[in-house]
Amino acid sequence: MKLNRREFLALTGKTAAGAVIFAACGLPERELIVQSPVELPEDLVRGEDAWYATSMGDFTNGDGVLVRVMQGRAKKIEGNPDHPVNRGKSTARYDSVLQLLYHPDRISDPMLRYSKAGNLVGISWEQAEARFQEALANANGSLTVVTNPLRGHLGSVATNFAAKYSGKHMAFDPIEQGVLHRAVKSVLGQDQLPTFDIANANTVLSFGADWLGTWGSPAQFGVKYGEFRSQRSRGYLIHAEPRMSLTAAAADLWLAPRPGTEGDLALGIASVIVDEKLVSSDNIAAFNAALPSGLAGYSLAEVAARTDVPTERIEKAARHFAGSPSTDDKSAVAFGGGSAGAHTNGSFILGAIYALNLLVGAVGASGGVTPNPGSAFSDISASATGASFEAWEEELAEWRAGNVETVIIRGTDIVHGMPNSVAIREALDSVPNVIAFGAVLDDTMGYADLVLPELTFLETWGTDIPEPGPGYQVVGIQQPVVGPTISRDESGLISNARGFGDTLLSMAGGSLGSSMERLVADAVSELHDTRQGSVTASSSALFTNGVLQRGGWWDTGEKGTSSSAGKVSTANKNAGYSDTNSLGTGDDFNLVPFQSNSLLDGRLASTPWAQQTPDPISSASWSTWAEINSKQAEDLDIRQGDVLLVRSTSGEIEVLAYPHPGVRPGVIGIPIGQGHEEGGRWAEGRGANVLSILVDQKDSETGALAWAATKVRVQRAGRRVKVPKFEGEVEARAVEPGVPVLVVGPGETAEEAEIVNHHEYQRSLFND
Amino acid sequence: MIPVLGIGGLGVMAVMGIVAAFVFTGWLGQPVPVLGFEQTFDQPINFPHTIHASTKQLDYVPADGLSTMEGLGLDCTFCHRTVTTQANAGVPPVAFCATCHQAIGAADNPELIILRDAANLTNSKGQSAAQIEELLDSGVAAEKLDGPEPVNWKRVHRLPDHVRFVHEPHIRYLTQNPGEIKGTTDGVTEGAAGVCSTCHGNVAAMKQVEQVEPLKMGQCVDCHRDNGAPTDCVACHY
Repeated sequence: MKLNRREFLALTGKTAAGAVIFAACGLPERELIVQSPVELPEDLVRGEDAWYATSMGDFTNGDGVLVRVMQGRAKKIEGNPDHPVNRGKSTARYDSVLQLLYHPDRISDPMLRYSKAGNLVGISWEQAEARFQEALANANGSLTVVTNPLRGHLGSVATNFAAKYSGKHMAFDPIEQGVLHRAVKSVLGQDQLPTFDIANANTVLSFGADWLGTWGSPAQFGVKYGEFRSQRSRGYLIHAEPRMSLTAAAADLWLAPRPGTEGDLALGIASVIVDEKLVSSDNIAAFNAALPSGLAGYSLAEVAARTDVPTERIEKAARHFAGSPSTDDKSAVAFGGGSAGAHTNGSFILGAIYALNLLVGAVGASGGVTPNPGSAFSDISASATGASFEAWEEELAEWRAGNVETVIIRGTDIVHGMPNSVAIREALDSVPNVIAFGAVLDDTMGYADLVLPELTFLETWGTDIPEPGPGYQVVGIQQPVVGPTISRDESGLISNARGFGDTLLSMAGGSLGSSMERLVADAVSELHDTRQGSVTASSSALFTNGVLQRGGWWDTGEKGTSSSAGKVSTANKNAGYSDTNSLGTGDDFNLVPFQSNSLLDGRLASTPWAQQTPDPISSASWSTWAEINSKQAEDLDIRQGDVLLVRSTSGEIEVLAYPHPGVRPGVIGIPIGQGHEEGGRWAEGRGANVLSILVDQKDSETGALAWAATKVRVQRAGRRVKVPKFEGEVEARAVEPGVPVLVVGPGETAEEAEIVNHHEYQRSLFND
Repeated sequence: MIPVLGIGGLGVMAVMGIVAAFVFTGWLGQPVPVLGFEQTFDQPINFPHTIHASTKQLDYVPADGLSTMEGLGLDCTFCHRTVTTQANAGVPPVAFCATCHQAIGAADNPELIILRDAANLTNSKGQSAAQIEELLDSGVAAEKLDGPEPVNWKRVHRLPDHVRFVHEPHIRYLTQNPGEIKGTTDGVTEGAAGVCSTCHGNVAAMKQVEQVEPLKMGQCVDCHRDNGAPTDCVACHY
C-alpha cells in the first residue's frame, strides 16, 4: 500500500481521535469498585430514613425536635413527641432552619479583613487560629464575648472563656426579656420564668405577649392552647395588645389599649374585681400586699379614659378573669410580655399584670402559674437573658473610646439589632479585633475583621435547659445529626465550619474542657449519677444512649416551688414616649414593632422558606409592611402599598402601607426581621430594619430598651408598590353549598339533600 | 457516504475498523465471561467465601496447621444485609468484619493485618486499638495516626448502566417459589442463600468469586418469560 505524507498525517489524526472516543466509551475505574466504608451509619442505608432526637437552642426556647435524616442529609425537622416542652408539636420556623445547613451562601472558610477598609478574603483555619490567638494575646483583659442569650453548656463555655482572659461575656437580645425576668422575680419571687398552665385554665388573660406566635415558647403554648380549647367549658381567652397579633386573633375578647397603658388596664381589671368582691378576701389581701400604693387612681372610669378601652369591656374581662358564676372552675392565669413590657414604665406594667395572679390565687394552682425549678446542673443557670440596653450603651461607649481590644461575636447580629443611637458601626470600627462566628454572613460580619464559619445546631453537641420549662427539671441534649455536607459536585465540603464552643475550647488550650462532646458526655453522666428522671439504665453508656434517643432527660419529681410574693414596682407608673416635634411633616403614630412570625428578630431572614412564609395576619411575605388602622388610613388617604416614610429622632425607614382594621388608631405596627445589609442572597437589601429607628428610651427600673415607646412621624413618599401577600390576590370562587357540609332536613335522605342543595346553588348562580 | 467511498479502499477500511473497534470495546466493557474467560480479580483482601459461607469440610489449613476446618455456613444475608429489602445487596462495612476479626484469626495472618489496619484495630506502627484511643484522647489529631480507611473491593458482577436491577423482588419471588431456583449451593440450601445461586452460582464454594452466569439480557428475558414476569423494556430499562 502506498501512503503519501498527507494521507499518513490524516490517518494519524483519525486514529488519535478514535482512541479518544473509544477511551470515553470504556468504563471509568470507579465503576468497577465497590467500596466498603469503615463504618456504615444506620442513616446511610439507601431508601431508609433515620430519625434523631436533638434540641433546637438558638431558634426556640428549648423545644425538642426530631430530625429526619436520609443517607446523611437532614430532610425535615419535626417536634419530638417525647419532649415535655413541645410534646411533638412544631412551628413553621423549624423547617426554615434546615436551609441554613444547606444555604448556598453558607460561609465555607474563615475570612480575614486585613484593614478596616478592606474586603474579607478567604484564609485557612491555621491562619485564622493564629490570628485568633494574636487577638487574645493583644486583648490582655479588654475582651468581650458577645452572644445571644445562651442556655446550657455553650453559655457556660462562653462565660468561662471570657473569664479566663479576664474579659466579660455579654448577651444581646434585641427583644429584651430583662423587664419580664425582673417583674417575675419581684412579684412572684422566681428566678426562672414560670410556665402557665393554660391547658387547665378557665380564663387566660394575656397582655402584649403574642404567645401563640412568637413569644416565650410558642410550640409549648400552642399544645396547651389546644387543650385549653378542648376543655368542656372551651376556656375563655382575653388578650390585650394594641395590634391584632396571632394571639389577639384567637382571643374571645381582644382589648386594644393605648401602648404603655397595659398596666393601667391590669389594675382597672383588678379594681373591678376588688370593688365587686369577685374573689375571696384572702386573695384581695395578698394582692394589696403586693401593691403598696393601692388601687387609688385606677377606678373603672379613670382607667377607661387612660387606656381608651370601653368600661363594659374592662368589666367583662374582669368578670371572666375572676371566674364566671356559671361554672365552678374559676382557674385563671394572667401573663404579659412583648410590647407590653417594652415601655419606660415596663417594670410597673408587667408587675401589675403578674400581680393579677395573686388576686385570683393562681400562683402554684392548677390552671395558673406553674413555677419552674432551677437547673439540674450546679454550674449551669436555668435562665438566660440579654444584658440591658443601658449596660450595652456603657459597653459600646468603651468600644468607641478604644478601650476594648477584642470582641468575639456569635449568634446575634448586633449591627442589625441595635438602634442607630448607639452608633454600633463606629463602635465596631474602633475595636481592633472583631471576630464573628456564623453560618451565613450577617450585618455584623460586615464590620468584622475575622469571620469564622460556624457549624449549625444540627452538626454540634450541646445541652439546652428550656425556658420556660414545663414546671419540672428538663435538660435537652443537642447532638450532631449530620456530618459535614459535601457539595453537589463532590469537589469539597459546603462549609469547612467548626462549632463555636469547640473553637473556644481549643483556643483556650484545653483548660476549659477538651470538646463540647466531652462536656455533654460529662453532663449526661452527672445526670446518671442522680439515679432519677426519665431514663434509667444500669450503665453509664446505656444511660447516654437512652438520653440521646429521647432527646434529653427530665425529672417530673423535681418541681419548682412557689415562693412568697413580692411587690409590684411602682417607681414609674406612666409611660413616656420619644419626641416627634422636630420631625417635619406627617402624622404621629406610636410605633409598635413586633417579631416576624417567620423571621423572628431577623435570625432566619437568610432562609427563603422563612421569607416566603406569609404573616398569619396580613399574609404578607418577603417585605416590610406597616399595619395601620384602615379607618385612619382612609382619613389620611393612605392606600395599601403606599410607600410610607417612617421617621423617628433616630432615623427613617421606608415601609409599605397595609391598612387593616385590626390595629388601634394611632398605632403603626411594623415587623422586625428585614432590612439586612448582608445576609445572603435572600435577605440582603430586602425591606427595612425597624430596630434601627428605635429611640433610646429605657425602662426606668432595669435599663432595658423600651422598644415600644418610640413615636414616629409617618409621611407618604408618593410611590406605590404592590404588597407581596396571599390574601386578596387569588380570586375567590363560590363553593357549592352542600358539598363540604351537607345540610339534611328532617325526613330527608342524604341523596335528596344533595339534590336540593345543588338546585339552590344553581339558582344562586343563574337567577341572582 | 459518497466522499468516503470516493477515497477508496483506505477509507472503507478505516470506517470498518472504527465500527469493529466500537463493537469490540462494547463487548469488552461488559462482564468478562461473555468471551469465555472465567476471569476474576485479585481483591485487596483475599476473602474466601468458602470459609465464611460453606458448610463443608474445607481443604484449607488453618494457621496452627493442625486442625482441619469446616466452613462457617453463614447465610449470605449475614453480610449482604440489604439484599432482601433493597436494590443493592450491600457490602459490609469494615467495622462489621472487625466485629469478629478483632478476636478471630491469627495475629500474623497477612490478610487480617490489612483488615485490622483498615478498621483501625491496629495501625502500621503496630499500635493496638487501646493505644490509638489513648493517643486520640490525649489530643493527637486523628489524621496524624493513619486512622481507619475504607476497603476498595473490585466489583465482579456488574450490569450495564442502562439496566436497573433490584435485588429485593427477585429474592422475594424465588424464596416463595423455590422450584424456580437454579444452580446449586454448597450445603447452604435454606432461604435466601439458595436463591442467590440462581444468578451468582455456588459462591460458597469459591475461594475467589467469579461470574459464572452470563447475566446478559437474553438470560434475564428467558427467566422473566418462564416465570411470567414482565418482559417489556421499562421493566429493567428505566
